[in-house]
Amino acid sequence: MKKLVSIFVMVMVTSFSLIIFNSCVKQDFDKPPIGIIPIGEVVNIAQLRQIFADSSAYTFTSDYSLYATVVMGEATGNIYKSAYVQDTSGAINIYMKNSGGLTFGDNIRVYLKNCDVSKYGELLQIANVDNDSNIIITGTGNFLEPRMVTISELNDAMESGNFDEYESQLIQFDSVQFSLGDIGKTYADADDYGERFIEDCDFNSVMVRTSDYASFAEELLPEGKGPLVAIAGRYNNTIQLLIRSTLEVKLDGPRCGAGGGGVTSIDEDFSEQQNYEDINIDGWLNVAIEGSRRWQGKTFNDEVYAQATSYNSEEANECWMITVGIDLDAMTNPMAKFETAMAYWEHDGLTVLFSTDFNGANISGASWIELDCTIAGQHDPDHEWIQSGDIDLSGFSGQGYLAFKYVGSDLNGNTTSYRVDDVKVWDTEK
Amino acid sequence: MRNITLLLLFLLLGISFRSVSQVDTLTENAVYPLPSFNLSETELEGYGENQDVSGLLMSSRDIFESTAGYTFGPARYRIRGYDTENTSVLINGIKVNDIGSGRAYWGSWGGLNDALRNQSIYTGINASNLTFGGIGGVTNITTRASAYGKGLKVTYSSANRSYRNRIMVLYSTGMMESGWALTVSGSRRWAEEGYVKGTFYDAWSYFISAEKKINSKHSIGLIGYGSPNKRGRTGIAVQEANDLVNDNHYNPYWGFQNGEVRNARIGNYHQPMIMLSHYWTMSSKTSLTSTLYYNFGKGGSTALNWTETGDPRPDYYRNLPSYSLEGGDMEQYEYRTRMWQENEVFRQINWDHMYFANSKFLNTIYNVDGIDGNNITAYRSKYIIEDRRNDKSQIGFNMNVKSELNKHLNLAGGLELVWYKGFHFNKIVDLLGGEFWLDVDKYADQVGTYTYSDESQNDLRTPNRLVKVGDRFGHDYTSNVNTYNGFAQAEFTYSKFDFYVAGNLSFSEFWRTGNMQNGKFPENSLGDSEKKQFTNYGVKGGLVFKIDGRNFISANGEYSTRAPFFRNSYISPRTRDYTVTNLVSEKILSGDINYRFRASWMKARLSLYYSKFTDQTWSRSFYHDDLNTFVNYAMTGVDKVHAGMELGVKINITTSLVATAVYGRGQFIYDSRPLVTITEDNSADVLAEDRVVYLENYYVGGMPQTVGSVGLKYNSQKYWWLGVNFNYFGDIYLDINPDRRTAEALAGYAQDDYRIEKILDQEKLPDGFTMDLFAGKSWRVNKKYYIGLSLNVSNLLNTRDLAIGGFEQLRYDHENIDRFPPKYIYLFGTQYFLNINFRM
Repeated sequence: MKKLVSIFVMVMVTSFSLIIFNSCVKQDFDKPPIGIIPIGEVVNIAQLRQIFADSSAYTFTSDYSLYATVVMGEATGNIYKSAYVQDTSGAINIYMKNSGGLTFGDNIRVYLKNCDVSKYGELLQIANVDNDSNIIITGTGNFLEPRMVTISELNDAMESGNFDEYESQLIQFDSVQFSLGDIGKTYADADDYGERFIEDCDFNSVMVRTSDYASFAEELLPEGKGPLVAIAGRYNNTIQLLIRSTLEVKLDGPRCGAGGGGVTSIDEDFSEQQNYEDINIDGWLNVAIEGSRRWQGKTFNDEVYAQATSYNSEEANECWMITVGIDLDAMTNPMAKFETAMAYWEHDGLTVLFSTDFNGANISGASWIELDCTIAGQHDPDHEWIQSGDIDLSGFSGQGYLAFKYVGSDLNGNTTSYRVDDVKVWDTEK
Repeated sequence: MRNITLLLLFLLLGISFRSVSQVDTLTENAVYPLPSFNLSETELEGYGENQDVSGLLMSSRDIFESTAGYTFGPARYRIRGYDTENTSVLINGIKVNDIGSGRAYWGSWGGLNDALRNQSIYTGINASNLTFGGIGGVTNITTRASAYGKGLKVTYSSANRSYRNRIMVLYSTGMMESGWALTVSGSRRWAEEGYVKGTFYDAWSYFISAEKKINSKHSIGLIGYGSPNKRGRTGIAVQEANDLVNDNHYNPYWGFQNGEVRNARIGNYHQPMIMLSHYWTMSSKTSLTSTLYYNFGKGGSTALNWTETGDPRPDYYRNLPSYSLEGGDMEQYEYRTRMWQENEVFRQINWDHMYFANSKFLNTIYNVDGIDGNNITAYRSKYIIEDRRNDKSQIGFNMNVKSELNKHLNLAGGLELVWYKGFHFNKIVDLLGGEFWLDVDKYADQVGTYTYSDESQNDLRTPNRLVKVGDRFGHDYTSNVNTYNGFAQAEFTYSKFDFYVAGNLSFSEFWRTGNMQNGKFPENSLGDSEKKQFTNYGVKGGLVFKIDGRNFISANGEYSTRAPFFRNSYISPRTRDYTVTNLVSEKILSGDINYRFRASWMKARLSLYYSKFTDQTWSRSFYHDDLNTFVNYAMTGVDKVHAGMELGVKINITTSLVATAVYGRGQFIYDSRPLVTITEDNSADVLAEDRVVYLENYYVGGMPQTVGSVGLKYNSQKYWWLGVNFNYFGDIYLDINPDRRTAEALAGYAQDDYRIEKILDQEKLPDGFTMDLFAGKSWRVNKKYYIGLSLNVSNLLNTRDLAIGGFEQLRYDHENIDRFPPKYIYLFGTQYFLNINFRM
């Protein structure tokens, strides 16, 4: 029996030792060999454009590569799963399967096998790009300079069907401003894209479109004028500029027409204005806050005046005509008057307002006081000029602005036309 | 009011009984590892950590408790539905529940079954000489060297559970003439692959207990133990994935690297304990034990992290076939379905691809470490393995005094002082072929076209920091908790009655120390936060009425308050020091009455219990991939009622044949309308603040509330036995997502919208049956040696589709509830545990 126990113990001990030695659990892993992505035939962006022109949507089934430089990545969140790249022959959008991986300045090789060349809203793109398998970053820090353009160049190119010339490129405007109708807004809406407009001093404008996911979506638009860098995007026949970073939106100079200010008298009879053209007076503002209509010059019996109406506008309208700044402190007893007329009464659409804290750009951010005066109304005959009466402005001080605000809507029949003429500001002591 | 009346009724009716059970020895010693379900933090942080103490109950003598441990434990059953913070687990009189969470982590002493088998288990409210204890009871494991008999024990076990092999050796000298006693033990548990595919197990353990008897009054003891443990974890996938693979235990955590199986989720724990004790026997009636201890070490779990690319997890909802269906892409749907079904590489993590992607992501980081012009260009890792660490360092001092004042009165009291620090940070484990990881919030918006904003910095003090293997990154904070606790107890014994009363008073404080200055919370992340302080108390009492030698009636009651746990108190401790609003102590009211019958032919116990938890705080966080961050849920004012009955009967039909029957019926429900606050880790935005959750009368989910088992066991005179159990699990409900029970969740739906019901309903899972088998034999050789052999087979019928728990995902889609479907946890199929041991 003892023998049995000894044998048992020996067997146990031996097997334990064996088991312990064999009980290593493998946890170290070898680094796997890295697959090599072949280069194949090299194409440029112009050739991709040609491939699409020849065959419309095209999927690469063999080895092709594109060498390009990233001009916009996802850094600020304005675009998603997407990047814009350029080479010397043009620019193109890359649409990837996942978010991330490309930064401004990256030199990349796009391995085109399994990728598509297609259009989304007429924007040429390389789609179905796998972030890991189709993109090789070969260098960094190649920050391409933007191409200098003007708004009308872009618009003309789009109108004449030559936008390919600019599409997806990094561009810069020398001097632009956000339109007054957008001032006071943020780059994007709370839960939606923001579609804002920049303009030059000749009312040429173009859309800046910003995602609500962009890091600067909640920032207020700058109110001044200056250089702006963007990507020239498009959706069908609408140009959509994409801002990469607000560091590249340096609109801090004075706005178009601004800088005058501080007059001590106004005597405007609109005689310089053209029939059916937007009112454009040096130092004055003419702004469409809602809808596209502004105050327009109108001629009747050789008399020129300003008119605003929603009649046949097919939209809701709000437009402001604001005088040049009035230096109230330099006047002893400032007074104002003007005349108004109305036609085809449907609603009360005109208010006359005065502000002393308007900064020349941000209408919604200023406080406006309705002036006590007589305005043409429902019971006045059509077309008859009504005198406002003398308005005493001596209660105000600082820089004052007189504003004519028209609100109407063709959609619900609020279409009364309002006219303004002979706007005068003077100092009774002089 | 009704509750109090009920409790009073219980108290009036009742008379106390102590369900004390000493440990059993040779038979039924196959304490097997419980399955541990580890849900990823990305799903539900802290949900499924192995907090099961039911393993302790296996050695209870009470038939209900041991069945709950052996048979119901693997099905996630918890006695009376209590979380483990309500059960105090003591080793040598020292409470080892984690201070930060209150939970008892079984793994901390895993593999030391033989060394830690000397256990006293008290469940429910009881008198305890060692601590005030929770309403779930007190378990003390005696590890004093002089308590071990002289001998050697060697055990080998073979199993198909989380490990496949186990060796344990225990040697004890017993008290020697020199006054020394020494016990040492060690074990090894391992598996190349456990029950679930892709899981390995690699654990050691050590134990030493030495005691020197200085004289008849004084002894000094030193105890040290630890269980270094490394294991591949298993995840819980959505049913779609399980169905595609045709396996309810599909594990999304592993994949092939160079053709070899590699797990991304590796648990890695080692938290040794060292105790120095002084045992002072002042007289034959009075003794004082003082212990100074230090418990420290690492706890971590690795996970994939990624940046600038897509989610690589195979079971991520966008990687499943159904996602293609959403976009109406049938071709892609069929392709993915086929690939999931047929291609194991496709449906698991693709390690080779991650190495490939990391090898060519050339990146320039500008102004590294905040130094202008310090630009570094290198291959940046898109994918990495990080270790999410929760290390600890705890020093404690305990004093415990016991005195038998006279034959009717026993007094006991104690002092517990704890100074705890938890260290919570991420560490890079593997860059997977890349050269660095950038320590910025990967989803923070940037300002420049190629530089990172202050807001995106994880640590403003070193902006744009490159981190490499071994570096800490992401978050790094310390949880500090100090508690000072004292209790006293008086126990009276008479011939017809026993009764006891005990009281407890404690002071605790905690605060957060940030070791990084987060760019989004520069003023609220670095350094010490405000201290939160709480004073708490508890009272309890119980009576036993001994009708005769066979019939006992007992009743117990307790009211106590408990400070909130650190882990529930901060809304987003990784990034800032904001605590939840309404941070108050939890109140616990509990009582039970018991009837016990004890005779040679039958033992039986019937218990009724009622517990009410008031003002609990509940917190979870999960990874939300549209918001690109962890989203944190904190509910305050959570009240719960746990009421039910327990019945355990053991009948000796003949001297050899024993029949058992166990039945537990509970009703564990929410009893208040808590307020939920939802925040994001990387944003100061509050998604919801103090939103009312209409939670009343929903079930506490995730476990069976009703269980039953009948068994038959044959004990041969020739030292062998054979038994069988039939088990029932019922009333299993899904753990609910509180945000779905709010007015806001229903906003926008018409009153008769069919989806309302779907959003509000709590799914009840089907009942289930299983069958277990156990057998064994022991030999005594030469009256000196013992050889034991035992075999347990659980779930003999290999039922693999019995969901024993589950939870609704916290993320949900208002429009399409099914997009983030609930996840179910299934009972494992047939598992065996074969045990052979040798003793001398």
